[in-house]
Amino acid sequence: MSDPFLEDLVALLPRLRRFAISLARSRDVADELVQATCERALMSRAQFQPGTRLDAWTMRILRNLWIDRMRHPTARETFVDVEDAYYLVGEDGEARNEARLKLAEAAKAIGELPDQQREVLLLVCVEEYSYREAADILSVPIGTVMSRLARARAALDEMLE
Amino acid sequence: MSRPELGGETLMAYVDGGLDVETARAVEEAAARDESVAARIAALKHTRDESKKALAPLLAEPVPDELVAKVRAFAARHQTSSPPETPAAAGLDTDNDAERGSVVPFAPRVRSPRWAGSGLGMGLAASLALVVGLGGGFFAAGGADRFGKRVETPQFDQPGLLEALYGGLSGEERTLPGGERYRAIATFAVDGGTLCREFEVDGTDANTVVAVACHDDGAWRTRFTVASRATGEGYAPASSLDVLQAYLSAVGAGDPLDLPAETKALNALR
Repeated sequence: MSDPFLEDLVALLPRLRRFAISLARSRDVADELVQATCERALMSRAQFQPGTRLDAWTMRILRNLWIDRMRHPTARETFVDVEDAYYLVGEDGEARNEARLKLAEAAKAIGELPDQQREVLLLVCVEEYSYREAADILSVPIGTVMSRLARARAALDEMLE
Repeated sequence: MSRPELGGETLMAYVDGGLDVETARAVEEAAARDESVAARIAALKHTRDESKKALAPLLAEPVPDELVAKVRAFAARHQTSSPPETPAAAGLDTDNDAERGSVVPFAPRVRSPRWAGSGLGMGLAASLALVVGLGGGFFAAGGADRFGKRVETPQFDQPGLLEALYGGLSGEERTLPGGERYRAIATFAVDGGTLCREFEVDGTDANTVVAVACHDDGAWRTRFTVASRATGEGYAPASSLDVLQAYLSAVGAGDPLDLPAETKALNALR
């Protein structure tokens, strides 16, 4: 007998993973984060109101786990082979062409934003949440979302000039 | 006809799809009339599009089989349909009450969004290895420190720890007399106003203990401890922090005090 909550969670894995990779700038760390997120989501499933947005609910868990991870740096920085760099997306032989390189540059620049700016940019521009939804996920007022987003865009524009 | 102020945030909201129909139309009209407005909108849209193009493809990456397997395995192992009955059953020792036979009422209401997470509350896994009361073997039993008080708890008895709790600010690290590394994480108030501190101690035997001590009745008492990365025991760091989160939720931990507030609060105790 299948568990709809579990199945919905598994269906969210690609989205959670994308957010986690972009936050953590490492696929290994991202996969740990996503696993921890799913475990916590399963353990606190009673707190989830069926019919509400499971994706936003789990994104919130993921983001909070990321914050906690930053507070307790138990993992040391591991050297990442440049071929495995998180920002090289979709390497399928096309890695060298100009357009791909520009995108990798943009991804890398996003990775270099301060965490508070990066997470807002990711939620609004990549995950396409509304300002309100992003504010709920981050537990901040909408005004804060907007001002951090404006700063993120300004910083990004400068990096990519 | 009045023209609404088209500030940067309005244009940004327009690009991100967050404007009501009327204001959106006003923006479009302004863009049609004014090159510079159109240019600003184009720039904002460009940043959004570039961000999306750069990272959206991550969605298409296949999720590692191992990750999916682990999530499914976890779900299968932890068929939690109902939460544990009491904090004691869940393994939380709030100030030795469990030992005395009374149970501190669980406070599922979460104060701080900072620690709210998903509202872990009662949902503790039976498999989480919570070590409460590490026993005398972990740290060398110490005598009274120079303040003439001891950290009065069966869990911790540690030279230098008291001084660290009274004096050091969050974020600092110091080495205790026994060689352990102490790290102050945060100072905060809990429900009822008691001042507490979260800290970590890296033992000389590669164990790390995350603990919360509260200043009650003139003394620091350790209220909560959990070991992580204990060698050979298989505790998962993420799980031990989950339990910490549950404890913080339960006691209504507030936001970490900022530097001025923390300094003031600690000074008031001396």
